[in-house]
Order: sequence, then C-alpha cells, then structure tokens
Amino acid sequence: MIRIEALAVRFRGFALEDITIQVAPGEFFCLIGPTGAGKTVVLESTAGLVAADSGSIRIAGRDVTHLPPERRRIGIVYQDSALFPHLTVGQNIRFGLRYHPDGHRFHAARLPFLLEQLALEDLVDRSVTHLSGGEKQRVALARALAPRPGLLLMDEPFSSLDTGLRVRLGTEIRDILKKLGITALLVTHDQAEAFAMADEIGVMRDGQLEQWDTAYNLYHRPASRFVAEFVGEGCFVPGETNEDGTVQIELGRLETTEPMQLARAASVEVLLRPDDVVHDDDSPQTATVLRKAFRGASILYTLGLPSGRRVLALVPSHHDHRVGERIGIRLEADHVVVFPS
Amino acid sequence: MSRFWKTDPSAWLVLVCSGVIVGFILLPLLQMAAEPSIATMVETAKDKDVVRAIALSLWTAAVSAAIALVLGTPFAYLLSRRAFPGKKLLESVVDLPIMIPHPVIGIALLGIAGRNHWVGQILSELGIRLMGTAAGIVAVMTFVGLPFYVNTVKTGFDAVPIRIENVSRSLGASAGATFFRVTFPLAWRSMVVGMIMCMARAISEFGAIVIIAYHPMVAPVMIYERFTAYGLKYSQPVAVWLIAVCLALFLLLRLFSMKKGPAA
Repeated sequence: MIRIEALAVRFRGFALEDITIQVAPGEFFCLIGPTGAGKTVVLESTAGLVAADSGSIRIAGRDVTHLPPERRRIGIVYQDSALFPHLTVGQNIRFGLRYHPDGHRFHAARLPFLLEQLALEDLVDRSVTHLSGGEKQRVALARALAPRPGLLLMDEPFSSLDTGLRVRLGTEIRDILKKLGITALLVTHDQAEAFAMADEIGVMRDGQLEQWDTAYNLYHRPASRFVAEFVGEGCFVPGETNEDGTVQIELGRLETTEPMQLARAASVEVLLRPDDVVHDDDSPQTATVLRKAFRGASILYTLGLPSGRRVLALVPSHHDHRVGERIGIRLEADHVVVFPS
Repeated sequence: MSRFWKTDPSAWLVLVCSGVIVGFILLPLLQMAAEPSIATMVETAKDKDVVRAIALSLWTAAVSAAIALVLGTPFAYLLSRRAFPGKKLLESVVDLPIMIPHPVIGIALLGIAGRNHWVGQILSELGIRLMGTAAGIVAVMTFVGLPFYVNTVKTGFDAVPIRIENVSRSLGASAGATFFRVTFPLAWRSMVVGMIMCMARAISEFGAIVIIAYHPMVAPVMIYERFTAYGLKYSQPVAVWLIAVCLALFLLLRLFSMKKGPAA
C-alpha cells in the first residue's frame, strides 16, 4: 500500500501542494500532466531525493517521510536508464543486493527469473555502454527490481525509445510487474502510454492533482475543464441546459444519464469527443469536412458545422470522404460533459 | 580537410595563426633544450645542489597536490552538486589565486603567518614556521595550485549524472557508499589530472616562493640565482633537467590514468 498524504514541497521556485494519493499493493499508477506540472517532483519526493515540507509518505506500511532514499526500499527507472557505465550488465543488476539482509537468497532464487523474464540472460557479462536503448531500459528495470522494492518509480522510462518498441516494452513491463506483484508509479507526458499501462491515473497541473481516476473516467467524466482538454481529443460547443435535464446544442439534444451539478436553463460549454459524433448518411444533420487525419483503422475528421463551429468525428476508415465534402452526422454520446460557460 | 583549405580563403589565416602560436611555444623551449651539450647535462646531473633543488621542488609540489586532493575533493563535490546562495561568489574566490600577482601572494601569506596574527600563533604553537622552510614552500604551492585542482575535479564530478547517484541511493547505498562505488570510479581520472595540474602549477611557482623561502632553494629559485649570478649558459642545464623530470613524471601519470581499451 502506498499512501501519500497532503504532501507539500517547495523546491526551486516551484510549489507542490496538498497531494494525496492512495494506491493498493500491486497496482500500477500513472501521473500525467503538461511539462512543469510537478509530476517529477512527486516522484522525487517519494524517492526521498527532494525533502517534503509537510505531509507524509507511507510505502508498504512504513512511514518513510523522513528516511533517506537508501532506506525507503524503492526502485527508480529513469528515461536515460542511468546505468553504471563502469560496471557490466550483471554487476549493475546485482548492485543493490548487498544492502538487503536477504539479498543473497534473492540472488539465488530471483535473479535467474528476472533475467529470463527480461531476456537478459545472454547480456550478463556485457558492458552496458554498447547496449541498445531497449536493452538498457530492461537492465535498468532488472536492477531496480532485484532488491524487491516496495515501490517502483519510473520517470518517462520509454520516451527515448521509438514508438513500436515503446508499446511492446511497456506491455512487457506491465506484465512482469503484475506477475511479481510490484506496486509501480509511472510519470509520463504520453497519455496513450498511461492509458495502456495504468490501473489509475492522476492528472497534474501547476503543482496540484486535478483528478485521480481510471483512464475511462478521465476521458468520459473529466472533473475539470483542464482535464477535459488535456486528456484525449475533443471540442467544446456552446449549449443550454433544459428543465428536463437534457442539454440542447447545435447538433441536437443530449440526454444525460448522470445528474448534472449545474443550474437548469443555464449556458454551458459541452465537450464533444470524436466518438460522440458518428457518421450517418441518413442523418438530416450535415457538416463539411475541413481536415482529415488517417489513422489506419479510422479517420479523424475535423468537421465544420453550419454555424462555423468545429467538431471532431472518428469514423471507420472505409468511409473515405474528401476535404470540402458534406457528410451526414449524428450525435451518439453516452456521457454528457458540461462546464459552465 | 583538404577541401576546407581550397574553398575557404580565411582558412589560410587560421593556418598562419595556429602556426605562429605553436612555434611561439615550442621554439624557445626546443632552443633551450638543444643549447647545453650532453657533457654539461651529465655534469649538472652530478651537481648535488641541483639534484637537491629539483627533488625539493618535486616533493613539496607532491605534498601540495596531496593536500589539494584531501581538501579539494569534498569542496569540488559541493560546488558540482549543490546550488546555494553565494555559489558564484565562492567560485570566484577559488579562482583568486590565479589572478593575484605572485609576489603579492607571498606577502599576503607572510601577513597571516606572523606572531601578531592568530593563524601565525596557532602555527607557532604547532611548531610550524613558514618563513624560509619547506612548510612555507608547500603553503605557497597549495595556495596557487588549489584552483587548478578544484576546477578540474568539479568538471569531473559534473560529468557524472546525478541520476546515477540517485539510482545508487534508491538501491540502498548510503551517500558515502554511493561516492565510493559510483562517483569515485567515474571521476577518479579527473582527480589524477587535477593533481597533475596542481603539481605543474606548484613546481612553476617562483614569485611567491622567493618571498617566503629563498632557502631552502627550489629549482626555479636556483635557476634564477644561477642566471643572475653566472648568466644564461649556467642556468640552462638546470632548467632543461627540471623540464625533463616534470615531463617524464606527468607522462607517467597520464599513461596510468588513461582509459583501458577503446574509449566508451
């Protein structure tokens, strides 16, 4: 169990405020947010590299708030892997074992398993300087996991890898962590990565946690306009709430299944995700194709409504329309997200 | 390369300037080394005073480099790793000995070594005298050599990413263990280079030493004395021997600290 409570850090002109996070053992959680939001500061203060000004951090039931990094039982994997260049792959991986009373038992029982899982068996005696980017990250992970940390911290671990490898290694690592039951925190600016790997995700902004939720909820039930804009794609269109709890927008009437926190008959901004707008040739409602981005299985169309406003629509890619063409569209939204305008 | 010379007329300017600089440095040195005959060189090597002066220069410089190693390493680490108010100022303080005219250094050191200064009182309690002693020579050499050691080693520590140290800490190594298992193995070459720089600067010091300790005579002071008393011919062989011994020593240290195998 990881429990960060009311953590505050002031650090080089940057302030982290009132961060509270609770994660069950074995969970994989992510922090996402724009550059400068404070994701890395959360990671570094959890690691003990940056002192907390107030609040507390508990890892695996121990209060580590005032412990130095070496006594927190954590593992760190950095973007640049930060391997010890003067040691071989094997020496890197075994580096932390001597500091743990049960280190040698693990050395016998656990290391071969780690090496096999991460496909490092043939590299043990190699120098780390000539490894590929993916190999380096696997060595860094093995090194962090060998002393069996209570929490694994990863700071943009895949961003220096190319896309194909990033996705493959990400899935691979998630599987290994789940198999070993390791609790892990991933800090990334890549939300696709966070969506694919995390059980829960925190969105950060200006040193604060905006929302802590599952990927599904961040996308479909964003708690703030910032989260709505930061997570996924979408457009805001103006609308009016009605007495009966529906929302009227240019494209029609949206019915909400969830109670809205807004006053009736108010002006609102409505978030339309690309999957809320579907292509339908029979629909009387039409829009002009302004731009298209081919994505393989689907095409993301930017559509111009008669009013001049724009919406996005994700359409199966066999519906291939030209820019400038008018196509029929229909609303199909399960979740209606509105913010006061 | 050859293309560069053909296409860019300014390349000739670069070539001429480079040639002038290299010639300016090497010509006088080569001329001096070529001047004395082998017989004079052998005779000078047998001169007990010359041997004693060069030996004194070498061991006092070595002691000052050792002091720089002990005191300068933690300080260089501090400058490399920590940001604190007044850091720029502190870095300028470290560079001061490079700026100050050499006789001024000697006079300044004498000012605190006297009995009417508390430093001088502590030193005399400990039985250390600076005026006219090897201890005084070491003090001067450490003063002028420290900036070279500290700056070189700071650059060496800068080249070790702090993330590597962070990882070591996270794996359970204390700050001290991290220094000896990670930082030192990656930065010790800069310490050797720093000591070489510090020693080279220390051996070459004349102006400050001549004020604090004319005797016992270090090699540069002896070369100066022989030049003023007997002239160029008589001072050259000592100078050539000093350069030869220093070059041999520094080459040895450089070889010793060279990376094994292809550079990583």
